Amino acid sequence: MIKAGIDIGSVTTKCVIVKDGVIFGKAITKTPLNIEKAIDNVLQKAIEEAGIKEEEIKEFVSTGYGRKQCKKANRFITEISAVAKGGHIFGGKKSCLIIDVGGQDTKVVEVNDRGLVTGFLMNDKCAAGTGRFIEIMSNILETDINGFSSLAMSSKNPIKINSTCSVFAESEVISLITSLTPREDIAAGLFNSIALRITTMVRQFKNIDRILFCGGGAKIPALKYYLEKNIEKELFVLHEPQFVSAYGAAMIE
Amino acid sequence: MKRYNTFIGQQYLKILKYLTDKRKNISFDYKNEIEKYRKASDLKTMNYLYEVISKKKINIDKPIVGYFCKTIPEEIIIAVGATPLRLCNQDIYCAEIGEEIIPGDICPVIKAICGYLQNDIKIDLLVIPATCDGKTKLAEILTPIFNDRIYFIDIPRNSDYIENIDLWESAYLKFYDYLKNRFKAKPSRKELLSVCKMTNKRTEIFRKIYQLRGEKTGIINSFDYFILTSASFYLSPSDWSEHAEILYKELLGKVVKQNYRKRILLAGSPIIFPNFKILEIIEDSNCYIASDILCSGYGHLFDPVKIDEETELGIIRALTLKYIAPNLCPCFLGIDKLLNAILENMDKYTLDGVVYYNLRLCNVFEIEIPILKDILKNKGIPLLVLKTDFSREDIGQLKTRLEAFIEMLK
Repeated sequence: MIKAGIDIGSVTTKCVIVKDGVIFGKAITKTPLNIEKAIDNVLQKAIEEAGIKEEEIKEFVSTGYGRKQCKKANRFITEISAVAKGGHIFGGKKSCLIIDVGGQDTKVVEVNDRGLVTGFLMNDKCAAGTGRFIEIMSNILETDINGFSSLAMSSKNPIKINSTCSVFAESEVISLITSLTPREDIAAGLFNSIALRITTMVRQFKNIDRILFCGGGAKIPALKYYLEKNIEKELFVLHEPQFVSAYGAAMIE
Repeated sequence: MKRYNTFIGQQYLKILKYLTDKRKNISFDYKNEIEKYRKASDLKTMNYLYEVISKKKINIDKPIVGYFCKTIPEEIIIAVGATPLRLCNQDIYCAEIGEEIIPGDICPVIKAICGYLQNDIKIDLLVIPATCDGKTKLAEILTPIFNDRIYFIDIPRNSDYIENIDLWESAYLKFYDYLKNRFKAKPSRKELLSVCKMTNKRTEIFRKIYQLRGEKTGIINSFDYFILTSASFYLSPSDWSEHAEILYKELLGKVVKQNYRKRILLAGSPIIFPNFKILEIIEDSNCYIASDILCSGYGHLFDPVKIDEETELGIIRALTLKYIAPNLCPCFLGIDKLLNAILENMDKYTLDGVVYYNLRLCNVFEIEIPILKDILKNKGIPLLVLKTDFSREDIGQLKTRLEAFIEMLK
């Protein structure tokens, strides 16, 4: 059976075409103001890649913060259930803890061996510890996200940054720049502060033997490095981390 | 509270004057706001109660004693011939005005109360209990406006009644004497008794509705329920009971049409009109609030006055047991009471989970959460914490949280 999962996130919209549990086509685009357009766009691309016709799609499940805007969907599920399902399958169908660092939300989801959510935490309404925070900070340091990550990885002497609020952190960073602190040390300090924030969320769960990492944030090596350092556990970055929720949506029973 | 006057300068009084003028320019009209919820209602009796809230129907023939919090005994206010008016407020506009007097990271309810008092309801006496830090300081802040019209009740925050009953009793007796002097009234023991009977009648009918709501899914939506409880802030106990009785009869004959997905218990910070944001989120997700233990609903109406000894002292003692002993407010010591109330309700009405509403900046509610989480987890009861304030920008995120919680319950 062919199914489509679409994840309308705050920054990017993702679509996955799944046939009998295997991904045949996938596409990603920035979420514009016109969500309908983004949905059509990724769906067409994914269908092209899968080499099927739209009529062949039997079920269409949408997730993410714009899920209700997707008129084609037969079902809506929250990104929590979606990431749990996708992460559980990608992660070898065992009980686990999933860290999903997205654009405006960071989620930590506890999943049992049957792929069901047993608990979850999301960041507060501000952007602290999310993809947006990383983006803003890389702008301040006049680089892109990849450059920001490499800067952080090259630091030998990470400084301590206390603030995880993007507004306060900005002023803290600017004062550090003016006091001639090396950029790489600031970058490392910023990643460490985000990682600390996520670590407090992770620590609220008892079973942290197996931690999976996904969402756009999982593509940033520095974030993974500092998370592992703080949690003191190895993190498994899932294959195609940005598509985990879309895949999970398509696979929901 | 006169002595504080000297500390607070003329500049401050000017600010208050400016705020009073500003208040007049902001529409204090709840008509549009209330229409949204009235439309969702399918109960005839509710019409009147919605009107009570939107028009703030109170008995102005008698002196009005405004008070905050559920720890003030209404019975003795009524006995001295005054009208009790609970002023707890959650209006976002009032909070904005209050912000100019108390800026910073202070509980929005305190700000809203401060802003609300700028409007024209004439209050003859303002009673402020020391139930939380915000309210305690409010007594000082409001002194320039109310001068000697403020009465401050110092209530010990240990709700263990064996230990503290004497302290509460003396605080209530002092308050009663003060009221008698102030309003030149000498209510007899019988008069006080008859007021207690009146509030007991109110409790009786409230309990019937509370139970019916828990047993029959969808019998009353949460907007109606909280309008009903908020109406008790304005209406006299006998008026309220009369309408609640009619409502109860209407509920018995009601055919439930709406299908709800899950039945939950709502706990945590109070919900007072017009801040029905949490209710909107819960109703939108098709979740039924089958039970609540909030101080604005359950806490205000659920407990009766149980009099052992029909002397004046005996009645006052019974009142402390009604108002303070069963207090679930996290400002008080005694989380065991909260846990017992949750477990009892979960068990009695076979509910699917607990939603704990944590009003941002009312920090005591947050302090409780780790203990609550731990114990409910051990008991296998799902718990969702929704932390927010009066603003509406995070509705999307809160909905996602609640829906994920519902999906988790399946």
